[in-house]
Amino acid sequence: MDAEAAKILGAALAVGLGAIGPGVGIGVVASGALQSIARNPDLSGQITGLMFVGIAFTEALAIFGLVIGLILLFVL
Amino acid sequence: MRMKGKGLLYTAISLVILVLSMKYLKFELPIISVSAEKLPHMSLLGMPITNSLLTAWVVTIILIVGAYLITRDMKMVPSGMQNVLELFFEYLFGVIEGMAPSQWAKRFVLIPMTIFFYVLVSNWFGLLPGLAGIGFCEEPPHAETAAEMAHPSIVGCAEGEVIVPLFRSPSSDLNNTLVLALITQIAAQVFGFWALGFGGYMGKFFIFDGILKAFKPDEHGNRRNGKAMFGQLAMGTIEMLVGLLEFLSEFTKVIAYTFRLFGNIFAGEVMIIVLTFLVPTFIALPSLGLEVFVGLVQAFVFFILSVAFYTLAITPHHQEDGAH
Repeated sequence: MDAEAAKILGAALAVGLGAIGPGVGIGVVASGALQSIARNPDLSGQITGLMFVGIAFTEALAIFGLVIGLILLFVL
Repeated sequence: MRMKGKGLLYTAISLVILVLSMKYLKFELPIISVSAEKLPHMSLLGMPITNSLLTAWVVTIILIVGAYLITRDMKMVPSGMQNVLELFFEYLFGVIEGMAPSQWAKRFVLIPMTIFFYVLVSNWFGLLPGLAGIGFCEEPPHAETAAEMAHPSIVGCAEGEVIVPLFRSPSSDLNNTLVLALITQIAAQVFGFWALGFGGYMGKFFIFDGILKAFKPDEHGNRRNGKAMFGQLAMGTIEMLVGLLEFLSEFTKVIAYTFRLFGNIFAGEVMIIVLTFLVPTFIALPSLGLEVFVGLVQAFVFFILSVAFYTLAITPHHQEDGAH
């Protein structure tokens, strides 16, 4: 396998595998937020704000994988 | 025509335009580079100017001029743009007040609010249609080295040349996002030292109490025997390691801020460019819509994470003394 093919394969794997965990994680965060809003609609504003914080943390991990993929494709 | 027939007609026309444009409209393949492209023939004090730097200046001018125009004739009952600005400000300030104690909320508001508006405008500026086509024609692929061959062209480039766009969203430039992240994190440290003092703030990260307590008499005044001492030593070591991990995470937060904003905006840009290259009309519309939303969300996330970390920075490590 030459270097070019290895780079492209590495980029694809980085993005694909790196999105599995955060995908599950964001689902868990959103589900928790929805359940707590259903339980206590008064706090919906606060809960939504905190939900975004949780989503940002988990999404950042997927973004890290994407950045590695981009570096592999366009810089190296 | 009936409503149903009209929708069908529009869809058919759009599809025809789509397919025809794929066949007849040709685009130069844009260079997708992670680093912002340097603009030829321009330099400031000997340093090159990149297109994202130029856009950052434009964004700053927009913000300053906009702020001046909106607040020029402030009314008690707002209307128009003043209303929009107050909408944003009140909501975001409400978020800060919900998180932080009130005297700190006034101190926290400056940097995250400014960064929110700056990031919002710079995210959305990169979505303006047509901006990718305004630029310099250059020889691919090492455009910077062939700068002397660049010339502005409004019609199209010669065969084999690529367009270096004049404008590029500053949030898709790692330099820009890194600086925003550094400013935010350094401000967090400043707030921490301000609230807790040097010893108090450092005591959040370098926690030796647990280990030292193993060698002192316990709460009943008895000297600790071997098993109790070992238990307390283990707890103390864990506390110390958690503190060191927190210290390390202060640095990784900079990386996280940088790459979260950069990754979201750059990925959106690449997606729109590639989609437009493949099918020149209509196909990028859903992506553009998504990018509008993502731009807003990422600005808000940057804001709310800054505020959350500032609030964490000013809380002392042990809320109640003597609990451990």
